Amino acid sequence: MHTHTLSMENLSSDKGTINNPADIAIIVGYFIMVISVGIWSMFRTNRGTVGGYFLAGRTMTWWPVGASLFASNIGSGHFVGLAGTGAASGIAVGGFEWNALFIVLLLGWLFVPVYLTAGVITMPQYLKKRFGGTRISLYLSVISLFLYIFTKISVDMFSGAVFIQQALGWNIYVAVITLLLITALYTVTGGLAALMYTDTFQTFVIIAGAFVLTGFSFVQVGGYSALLAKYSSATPSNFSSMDPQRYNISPHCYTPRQDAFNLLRDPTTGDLPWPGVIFGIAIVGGWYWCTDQVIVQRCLAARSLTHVKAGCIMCGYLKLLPMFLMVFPGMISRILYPDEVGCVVPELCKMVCGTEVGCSNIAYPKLVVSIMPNGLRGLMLAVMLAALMSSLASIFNSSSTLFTMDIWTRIRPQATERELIIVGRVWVLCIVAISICWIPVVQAAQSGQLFDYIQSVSSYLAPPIASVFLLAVFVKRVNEMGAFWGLIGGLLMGLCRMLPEFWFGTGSCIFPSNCPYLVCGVHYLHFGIILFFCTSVLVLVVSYCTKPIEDQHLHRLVFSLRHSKEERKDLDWEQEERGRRAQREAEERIREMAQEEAKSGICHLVRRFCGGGGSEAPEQDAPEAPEKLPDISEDPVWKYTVDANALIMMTVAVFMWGYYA
Amino acid sequence: MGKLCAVTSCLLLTVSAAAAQTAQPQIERLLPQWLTGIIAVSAFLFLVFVTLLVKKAWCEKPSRSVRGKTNVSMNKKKTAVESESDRENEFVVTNGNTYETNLDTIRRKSTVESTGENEFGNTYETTLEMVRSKEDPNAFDNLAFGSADDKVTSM
Repeated sequence: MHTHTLSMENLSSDKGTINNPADIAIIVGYFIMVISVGIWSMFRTNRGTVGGYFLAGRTMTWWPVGASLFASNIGSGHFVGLAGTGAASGIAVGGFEWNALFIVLLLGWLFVPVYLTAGVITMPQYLKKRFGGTRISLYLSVISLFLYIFTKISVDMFSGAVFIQQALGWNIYVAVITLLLITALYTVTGGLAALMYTDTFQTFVIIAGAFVLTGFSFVQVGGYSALLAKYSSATPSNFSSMDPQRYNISPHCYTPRQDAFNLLRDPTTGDLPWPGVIFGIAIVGGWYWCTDQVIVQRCLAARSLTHVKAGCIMCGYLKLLPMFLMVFPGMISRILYPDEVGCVVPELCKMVCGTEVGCSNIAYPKLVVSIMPNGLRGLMLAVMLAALMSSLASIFNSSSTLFTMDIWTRIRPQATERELIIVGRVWVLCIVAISICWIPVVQAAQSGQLFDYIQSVSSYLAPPIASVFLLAVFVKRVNEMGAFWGLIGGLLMGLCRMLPEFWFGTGSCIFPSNCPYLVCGVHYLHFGIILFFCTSVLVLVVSYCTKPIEDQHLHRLVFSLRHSKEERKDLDWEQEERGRRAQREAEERIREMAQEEAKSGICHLVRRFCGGGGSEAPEQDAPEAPEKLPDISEDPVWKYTVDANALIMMTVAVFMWGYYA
Repeated sequence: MGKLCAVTSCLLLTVSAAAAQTAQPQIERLLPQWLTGIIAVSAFLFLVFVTLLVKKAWCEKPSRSVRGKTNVSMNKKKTAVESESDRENEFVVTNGNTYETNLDTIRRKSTVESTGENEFGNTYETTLEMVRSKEDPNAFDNLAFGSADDKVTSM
């Protein structure tokens, strides 16, 4: 590792780090703005209730919803991963972003109406109401938490670490711990409302900063046509092997791909084959945008269905940008610094960035450090911090929602609202601690293909979940047995591919892995498609062989019955009733106790800060189902406006796909 | 589905490009990029148009068993423009009270979203054909005033 610190010092001494007043002023200003937005939003919503804390009181308009969707999605992993993969293999990685344009419309038009009328807060809760029983929701909670830690949190923190080390030269632990503590501060106190408003601010920062950097990089390289012309000749000057006995470097390992400017590539020889890019990414995207707690929670916090749809459209338009703001600058970085970003000799790569596999991950930080003038470098650091903090905060909040509403209420059904909110906050701190402990693991496993790693893990574990949700919402015949065995079967299939691939390692161009063709031969996106269909078939087969669920249990839980106003007999009714009774008894006891104890000044202050209002909350719980049906009716004028806008957005998306195909 | 058409047109492109791939710096494109974009957009819009037509045709067909069970609550009648056929339904929805008395004349089949009643079997024909005036092909009877009033304005 000492060579790593050596290279860090070399970089920081001759490139100039963030140590001048302009940069520092901007960073400090950014943090002050974020914290003040967080504090302001604390006073806007009542955080004393579960609905207020986890769902922002369902009062959000479309622009915080759209901005929060975008900011929660775009993390530092995108900056580092998209730019790095763009530098290494061209624009096809932008297909991940542009596919989301269509998936986010599916979310707003097909899935959220059902989630809203179902009246749920978390996705496992929805599955519990839809299917009954507890094992499916438990499985989903556990696997979602698992996926958060292993894909989203680790990747974002790794990318943040790469950036901090390249651009700042700070001690990684100090930097990450400070970041996490600041994030935890406004997550824990403010709840979802604070997150969504800070996300809006951070979206502005991200887009503004990224535009500035893109402008500078295009100026540096000589324009868009220069990018097209020069990319194919961006080869490093050192490409001969330093140790010919151990390995030889073939030309295709360091020459830029010929199909670098095509989104749709050859199905057999391409690194991102076009059936995979179109259908495989759609499936994984379906999991990420339509069934995952982080994204859906933001839609559930909106004040009406029209606001959800408008927010989804806004997020879709914003998702057009990463191709131009991250992928193209990554490719420009390779053109400008082919010996560092495009290095291929393992010993040289280790000197440049500390990994033998390749240095494409430093594409974006390199640009920030090298071509941005003073002051603007501070802005770019603020951008990276914004991306990192917004994603992490969203993941923390959603994982605490999942843990509190699904796992804790199972352990202690008599938990009062106040206790749930406290547990939610404590869990955020726990997960911050887990993330800090994860840093050394992520550093030790530094692989060159960061974005590929998340996408492949997602492709092995997410398709069964996407398939079960899709069938749950659209096919009434699917029942609990089918869904459960489909999930288990899909998990086993995914693990059969994932574990051997991790065991053998993904390898690199120079040292390919010896994973047998049977296991690793199929591209991970194609495997995702196969897994999706196999799981769907399994779910349908088992469902048709077992008893169906009657309609009376399904009102407002499936798409075809989303408008029905009939009484629903919940499948988890008994459980809920037991929980409610236990909760009421516990609250009675607390109220008796509270009347006796004296309220000291400090106690009162702490309770105010943490959004306490526990004594007023219980009354609204008692009359549960009938009055509280969230309304999914829409004002017709706005409905047409929003539908037309969605059509326009899809047209733009299709044009962009066609242009770059 | 627009994607599928875009994909098939691009498949042609990539197949030919892959075949031609030798030692060129970049894949040669048969068509300029903006043209493939325009083709993809036209294919997509065509598919959207076809889907709308199909949806309209499917909604108008007598499909009681499907429509009877679902949709609409009474309190949405006044602003009830859930369907695409806004134009056709507007004039009967505007004045709810007078409309009620003329239901029998147009009680036939379903476009459920346009009417107040939603019970199975109580569905109504609401296309303009039913109220087209016999005298003039471009005029329509105004149901709201009832048959007693003979005023007919040509539109």
